[in-house]
Order: sequence, then structure tokens, then C-alpha cells
Amino acid sequence: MQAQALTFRKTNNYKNIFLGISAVLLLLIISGSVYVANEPALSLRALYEDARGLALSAFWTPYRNTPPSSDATARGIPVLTYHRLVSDASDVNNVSIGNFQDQMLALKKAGWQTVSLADFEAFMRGQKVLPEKSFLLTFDDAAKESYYPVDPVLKALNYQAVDFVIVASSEIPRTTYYLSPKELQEMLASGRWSIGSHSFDGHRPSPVDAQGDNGVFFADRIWIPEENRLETTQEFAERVTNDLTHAKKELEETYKVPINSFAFPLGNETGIAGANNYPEGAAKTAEIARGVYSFGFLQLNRQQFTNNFPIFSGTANDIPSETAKMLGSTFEVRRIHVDHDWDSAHLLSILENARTKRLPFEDDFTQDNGWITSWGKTDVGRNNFVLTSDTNSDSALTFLDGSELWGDYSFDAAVNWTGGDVFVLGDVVNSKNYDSCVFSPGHVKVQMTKDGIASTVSEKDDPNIALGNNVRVGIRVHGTTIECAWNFGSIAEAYTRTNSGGVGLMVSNAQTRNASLQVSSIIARPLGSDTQNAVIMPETQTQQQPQTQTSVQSQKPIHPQTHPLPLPQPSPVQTPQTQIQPQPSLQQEEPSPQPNQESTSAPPTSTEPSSSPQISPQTDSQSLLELRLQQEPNASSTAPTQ
Amino acid sequence: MKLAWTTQSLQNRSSAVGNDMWRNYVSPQTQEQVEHGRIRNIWYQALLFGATIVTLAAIIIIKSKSTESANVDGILLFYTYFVTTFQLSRLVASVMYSSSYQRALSEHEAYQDVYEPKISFVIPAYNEEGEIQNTIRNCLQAHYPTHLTEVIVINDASTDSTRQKILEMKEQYPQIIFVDWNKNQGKRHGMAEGFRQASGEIVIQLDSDSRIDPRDIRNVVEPFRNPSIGAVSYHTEPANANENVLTRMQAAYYFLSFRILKAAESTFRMVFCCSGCASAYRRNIILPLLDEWLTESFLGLPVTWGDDRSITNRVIKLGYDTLYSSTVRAYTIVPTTLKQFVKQQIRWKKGWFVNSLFASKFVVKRDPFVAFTYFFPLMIVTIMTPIMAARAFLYTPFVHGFTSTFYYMLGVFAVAILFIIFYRFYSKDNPYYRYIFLWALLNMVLLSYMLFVALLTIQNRGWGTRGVLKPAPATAT
Repeated sequence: MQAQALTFRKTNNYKNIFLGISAVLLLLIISGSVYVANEPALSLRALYEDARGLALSAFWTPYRNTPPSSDATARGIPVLTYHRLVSDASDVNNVSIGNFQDQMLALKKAGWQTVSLADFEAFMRGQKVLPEKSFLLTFDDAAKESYYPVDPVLKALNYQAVDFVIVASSEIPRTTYYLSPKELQEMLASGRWSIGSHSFDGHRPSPVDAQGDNGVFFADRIWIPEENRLETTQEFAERVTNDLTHAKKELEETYKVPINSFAFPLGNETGIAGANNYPEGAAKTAEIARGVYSFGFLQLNRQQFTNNFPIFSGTANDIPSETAKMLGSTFEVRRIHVDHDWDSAHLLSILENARTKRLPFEDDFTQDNGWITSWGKTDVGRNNFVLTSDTNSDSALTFLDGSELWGDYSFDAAVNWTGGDVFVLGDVVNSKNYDSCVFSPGHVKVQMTKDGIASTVSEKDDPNIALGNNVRVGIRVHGTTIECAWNFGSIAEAYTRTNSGGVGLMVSNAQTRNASLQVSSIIARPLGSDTQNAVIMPETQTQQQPQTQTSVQSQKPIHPQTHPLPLPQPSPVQTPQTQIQPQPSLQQEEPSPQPNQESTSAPPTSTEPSSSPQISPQTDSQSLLELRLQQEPNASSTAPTQ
Repeated sequence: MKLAWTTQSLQNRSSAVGNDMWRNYVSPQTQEQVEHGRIRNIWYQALLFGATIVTLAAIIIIKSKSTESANVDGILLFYTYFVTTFQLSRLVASVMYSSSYQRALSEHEAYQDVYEPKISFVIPAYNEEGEIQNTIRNCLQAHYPTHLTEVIVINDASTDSTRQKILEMKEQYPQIIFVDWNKNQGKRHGMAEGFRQASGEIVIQLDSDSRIDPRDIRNVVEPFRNPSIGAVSYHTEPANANENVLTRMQAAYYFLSFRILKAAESTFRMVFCCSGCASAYRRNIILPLLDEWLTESFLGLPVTWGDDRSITNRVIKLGYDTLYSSTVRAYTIVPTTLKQFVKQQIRWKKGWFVNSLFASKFVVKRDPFVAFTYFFPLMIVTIMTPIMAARAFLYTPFVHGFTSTFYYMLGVFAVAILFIIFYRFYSKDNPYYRYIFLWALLNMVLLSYMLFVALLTIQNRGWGTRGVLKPAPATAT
């Protein structure tokens, strides 16, 4: 017992030190673990990504502060969508991390710069000017893999991105798939990220019958098992409204940021895919979303141009209000969904092709310059362009990305016409709104298509129109005039043009149901003063002009090298130029329009194409302006007679 | 030559502890060299300190992620905190070892007097014709007055020429006391006979294939100056460490379990197992215990393993302190095949289990601090480790995904890194530290489960291979 007492005494110091240090360690481990569990920045993933980010930054330093390639401002802005970045290259639903890095670096090297969501929204409201080659980078679902592999890239390239959050998923405790609120806070604090709404809890399948078959939360009426019935349309509207407002409120309260943007879950062209028991459901949701959010993000569906244009782009004065209304978005934002197998060159070409093309524009199809095929198939590239209808379909339509802001121009295509009807499209705003010249053997029609419904405004029989190889079909759109050209000669026209837009081609063959058209080249040239894509078309000129509608001019062969504009006779009636003066583009090109006005009183002889088919490039612009000036009074003077 | 590195480490080791006779063997160093070495040491230790902090942070992060990904909650979550703290607390205790040992030596008032008690080496031998002469000669070379040294060799009815070899040695060295048995009685009886025959105050028990470093003999005697010390364990390392991967791994594990785990026990003067390879006992404490020790039984059958652990526990029970000395070195032969090795592990675990049950009856009364900070936690951890490992490998991957298993393994290796840092801190020269990873892996996938094999076969009291009957250094956590 004595020895025992001795032991207690002799080692007491060590015991106290030991207990003290061990207790500190225990506290350290517990508090450290609790802290780490709630501190995403300390996760191994975050540490690993930080290390990778440092390496990326080191390699990418030369590109980090790439200056803008020009001082020009953006007319429209493309938006990219990703979901998660994966390590597994065989994942067909998600882009791999390496591919994403390549893509972003390629965009950066090419001078592309991201914009923040706030800037994008301001741009779309017409409140902010952004530099050319700006794009918005978005991620859906706010999964962990939309942040951790992405952030180092953003950091290294000085980029920003948006994550659309499914609120309920982000709040799953200890979720290992979705980003937690803590992580989202951290993202917002970094300044590199913005967030938008991706619904409160509308991203998962919802039951639509007693058997448990699943429908779409935002498009189907949901089964109420307690009452053994489907919800009513009223209940549908309430449920959707609740979800959308709840999501917005919750996000704004949690993150103290305004939430103006909503990405439709499972969104495609109709808003939502897969709906079946409530055909109006998707539209209803879109309507409700419009009341809650300022912008609804969908995916591009090959029916629209790639870029998104501001709501008030019409105030820029260079495109008609009709066009601006259709082209500019009041709510919907269309996004490019980046597929897993796109390489960086492909993504870059899509963005580059979407940029406004300059007139004159020639395409001999050595590469794809951005032909968007709404339906049917196109084989483009390697000096070849074949437009073919799908099986069981009798037509195919394609239009040229980046041409949507063109104003007055001629558009001609050299085609190998073997059958069916060839539609030469002008003023394309989307796949459902365009003007066209429809060539059938021995017949030509001028058609205007509004919201998918075509109306023929002028037509004519012409025996010269015949099938053949290397025939030239064309359309000229200028002012209120739509003209059709066969082998560069104007053969039909109408004066009903209301909007401007881009160019396209369509082929239709109702007999064989196997329409096909081979095109060897196209050329688009500016008309009027429109040498810089500018459209000069007073907004008041939307009426038809009956006295000229039937005046079909005889075919005039014009040398392809010359300007193909068929020139109307100068009108003897001179009207004040006030309609033209507010056009800034005109003033840019013609610093002193007043002298020109004077000169119109003595029409230059060069305006007669038959007498002087060769217009020198130097005088081209000026003489065209004069022509336009002579044309204006003609158009406006007819208005009162309507 | 295979001991070359240990000789070097003997020369480099700290002079803090005990008799400094070993200094005679240090090659002369210039003042400049000494100074250079000192500065390099400071840098080295600062590096290790930094590594400790970093590893500690990593362990905390990994543990947190591990529990998160495996959905560990409630009592299990507390257990993971507890087990990590327990592992780290061993390191804390091991840091205080040298200081505690120093105090054990110096606290007795007679410290300054000459202390030269008679010592007796006891070597029970069974079929050891190859090694027995070397072992005896090794004892006779001890740096201690010859008239105060005796060697007792017990031939446990060997069937080979062991008896002849011993007789040859006895002719040469008459101070050898030879006990020759016609009937095999087992190692425990051999050891007991040694205690009875010994006339020395200190009895040094050796395995017949163990070697001691003859220079260290005064270091092992020194602690007995303090009357509360009942037994001192040698620091043992494998003599055949370089044979293959398995022996290298055991070399690493021996170092870790002696210099860290046993040292940690020694800090509180309660080493539960003074290694049977080589340990010194105070004879007059042991003699009254022999009858009880020889008749030890468990579940009605005599206990045939854990002799060393058993006798040490009885010394502790009497109220005496047991120490481990890092400055007295012994070398032993370790198993070279996995089968032998696993068999040995199973025997050790049986011995650990039976003796832990025995010790649990008195340890709280003996020293509640050790009981609750070390003894009972060790029992819990040893039993839980295979369960947690099995959970991480067989359960969570299918329920929570392989991430959790990955984090579990990462956590185990992070702790292993921390142990390696301390390993490197205690010995700059021991080259086997890398094999701690292998040990950690083997423990995770194989060795920890042997506890259950041991429990299932606890009634199998076969002798096993006499040659590999080795004491457990300490049970791994």
C-alpha cells in the first residue's frame, strides 16, 4: 500500500499534463470536426480544387487579363448551360472537367468574356451596354460538381458564372450531391458566382395517377392520393405559384440577393418536356413564372437565333420595331446546352457564328458558318451544303445564325434544283416569322409568314423558272419591298414588308415527301445605305402599296458583279427628309446628308442600272444613298392613298 | 552486420537516461561536429513539429469527412472522437516518457550511492542448439563484475544437442548454473525454476534466441535502485529485420510498440507487459508469486500463453511499478512467414485478452487514472477496431458509397503518419518507419480481426511452435 501511494504522488505531474493535453486534443477534434463539417472550404474536395486552381492560374496567367478584342458593344448575348462537370469522359449527360477547361480557355483566348447575371439582366432590360464577345455562363441544379471543378477555372480566367438552385435540394441536410446553403453563401461571397432560381422543389418526378406513374411537376396535374383524384387546374396554378414564389422568397431571404431569373426545370422549347395530362400546363407555368420573375431561362431549340437580344433593342433605331419586338426578349432567355461531345473549337464556332455577320456576306460552305436547321437535315462544310427533309416529312428549313440584324439586302443562292419548291427566306426572325420567295417550276410567290402561318402577298407565272443545275434564286428586301430574283433578275415583288431579319433556305416537296436541295454558294449584299448591317426603314411604313403590287417587272439580267438592286424611277414628289434624319447609322455613313438631299433634285444619271451597270465601289455607297432617298418619298407618298 | 544501424543509433541516442557507460563507445567528435549536429537536430525537430500540426489538422478534417460520408451519428460519432483522442493521447504520454523515467531513477534518496546488486540471467531453452551458446556467451559478456553475474540455463528436455552445447559452455565458464530436465515442462516452468535457482537480486529473463546488448546492463539494473520498481522491460527489436517485407514491417511495429506504446505506459509506471524476450525482475517480489503464476487457469484450463504479461500483471497487482527502458536493448528473432506471424498474433491476442480480464479486477483499485485513461479505453478500442474496420469495408460501401471507405482508410493512414512523425522524432536512424503504413493496412484488413479468431479458439491451449513463442510487445490500437 505504501508503494501504491508513492506511485500516485510521483506521477501526478505527468497525469495532469497528460489529462490536460488529451482533453485539449479531444476538444480540438470535436470542435474541429464540427467546424469542418460546416465549413465547405475545408473539405478535401475544396482543398484539392484550390490546389488545382493554383496550378491552372499559373499556366493560364497570360490569358487571365486578355483585353477585349474591340471596343464594339454587344448587340446580343449568348448564354451557355452546363449541369455538372464530371471526371468520367464516358458520361453522355455531362461535360468532362478537362473538356470544360479547354472550352473556357479557348473562349478566353478568342477574346470572349463572361458577364455577371446582374449585368446580363440589366443588358436585357436595355439599361446596360456590354462589350462585344460577352457571354453568360450558367449551371443548372447547383450540384457540388457545378462548383468545385468550375471555380478554379473561373478564378484562373477571371470569369463569372450563375448557378440555378433547386432550393429544397440545397437544404437537404448533409447532402453530398447538392451544394449546401453554406457553400452557396461562400460562392456568392467570392464574387464569381450569382444564383438564380431553379424552382423550390419542382425538379423531381411527381405522381400523376394512383399507380405512381410520374409526370412533370410544372406541366402535369398531380395525383392527390388522399382524395384519390387529380388536382384541378386551379390547384395546379396555386401549386406552381406557391413553388415559384416560395423559391424566390426563400433564396432572397437566405442569400440577401435579388432573384430575378428562373431556369425552367427540364426546360426545352415548349417550356417543359414530358407533360401529358394537361396540355396547357407548361404555358400556364410560363405565364405564372412571368409574373414572379423577370427572366425565364430555357434551352435553344433550333427555332431561334442563338443570341439573346434586349427587350428594348428597337430603341436602337436601326431595326424596325416589329423586328425588335419579335427578336428582343421580354422574358425568355434561350441557352445553348453544351453537349458532352463538343470540343472547344465547336463551342467557339457556335459563339463566333452567332455574332452579327457583316454584309456583304459570301458563303461557299468550306465550313459551317452557323446554319441553324429548324427541321430537316443539313450537311454543311467541305464546300457542300445539302438541305434534306427528315423521313416522313416533306420539308426542311435552315437559317443563318448572325444574320438577324441585317436590314436591307439582297440574298442569292446558287442551287442544284432537282424538284419540289425552293423557299428563299429573308427577314427571318425565327423559324416561324420570315418573308420568302417560293420558286416552283414556272411559278414564283412572295409569301409572308407570321407565327408559322404563311400568306401569299404576290405571285406570278414565269416560264423561265425551271429546274436545273446552278440556277440562282434570290430575294431582295429593302424598305417595304420584298422582291424575288431569278438568276439575279427581279421577277416578282410586294410592298408589304414589315420587319427585317436574317436569311435562310427552305425546301419542300409535298409529292415525293423527300425534299432535298443542294446549294453551292450564297451571297448576301447590302442594299441602300446598308453597308454596315444598318436597316433604314421608317416605322410607319407598314402598309401595302396596291399600285405597285401588281407591277411585276420583266426580268432584267444584271451582271453578278454589279449591284443587283432594281432601281425604281425617281419619284417626282419630294418629301421632307425628317423621317430619315433621326437614323444615326445614316448620319454615320453620311456625315453631311444635307448636300445629298440637294443633289436629289438633280437625279444622277448613274442611278439607271441599264445605262451604267458598273458602279464603282467608291461611289457605291453614295449613289445608293441617293437612290434610297429617291425611293423614300415614293413609299411614303402612297400611304395617304391607302 | 544486420545490427549495424542499431549500433549507430546507440551512439547517437540521448544521454538523458541512466548510467552513461555507453559513452565509452562513442567515436570522438569535434566540437564543431557536435554543434553542427545540434543545429541540424533543431531544424529536424522543428520540421517534425510542423508536420505534427499539419497532420493533426488533416486528421481532424479527414475524421470529419469520414463520419459525414459514412453517416456516423450518435454513439458511433462519439466513439470516433474518442478513438482518435485515445490514439493521440498515447503519443502525448510517450513524449513525457524520458522525463518520467528520469524521475523514477532520481527520486530515491540513495541515488548517489554505488548500486551493484548481483544479477542472474535466466535462459529457458528448448531445442535451441544453434543459438544457445551465443545467447549464453552474450550474457557472460555483460559489462558487469563477473562475481556479481550468474547465468542459469534450463534445458527443458530438448530433443536435439542443446544439452551438449550447454555442457560445453559450462566447462568453459563454471559460473553457469545448469538445470537439466528429462521431461518437458514448458517455458513457464523453466522461468519459474530460474527464479528459484537465482541468487541475484535482479533476475533477467531471456528467450533462448534473444540477445541483449552487453553494454546496457547497468542501465537495466539502475531503476531497481528505487524500491518501488518491480520489473523493467528491455527495448526489443528484431534481429532478423532485413529478411523480408514482413520482418521489416515487424521491425517498424516493434519500434512503435516499444518506444511509443510501452513508453507511454511507462510514463505512468505501469507497463502491463514486460516483454518476455528480455526483461528484468526483482527476485524477491517474484518468488511469492510463482505458485499462483504456475497454476494460472482460464475457463478451467491452464493458460499456456502470455507468460510475460501474466507475471508483469501480478507484479503490478502487488503495488510495484513496472518500467520500460529505451536505453537497454535486446534483439530477438521474429516470424518470417505470414502464417507463423498470424499464429503468433493470435497467441498474443489470447494472452492479452485473458490477462486483461485478470487485470481489470484490480486495475481500478491499483490506479484509477491508468484504468480509465488507458486500460479500459484500450480494451474498448481493441475490440471495436475490427468491428469498425469491417463496417468500413463491408457495410458502408454498399450503403453510403465507397467515399466513406476511402475516408476511413485515409484517416487510418493519417494517424499512421502522425505515429511515424513521432517515430522519427524518437529515432532518426531507424530505417523501417515506412512499414508502419503496411502495418496499418494489414491491421485494417487482417490482423485486427484475429482478435475474434483468438476468442473463438481460446480453449485451444496447444503450445504452438515453441520457437516462436514470443511475448506481445503491446496490443495495437
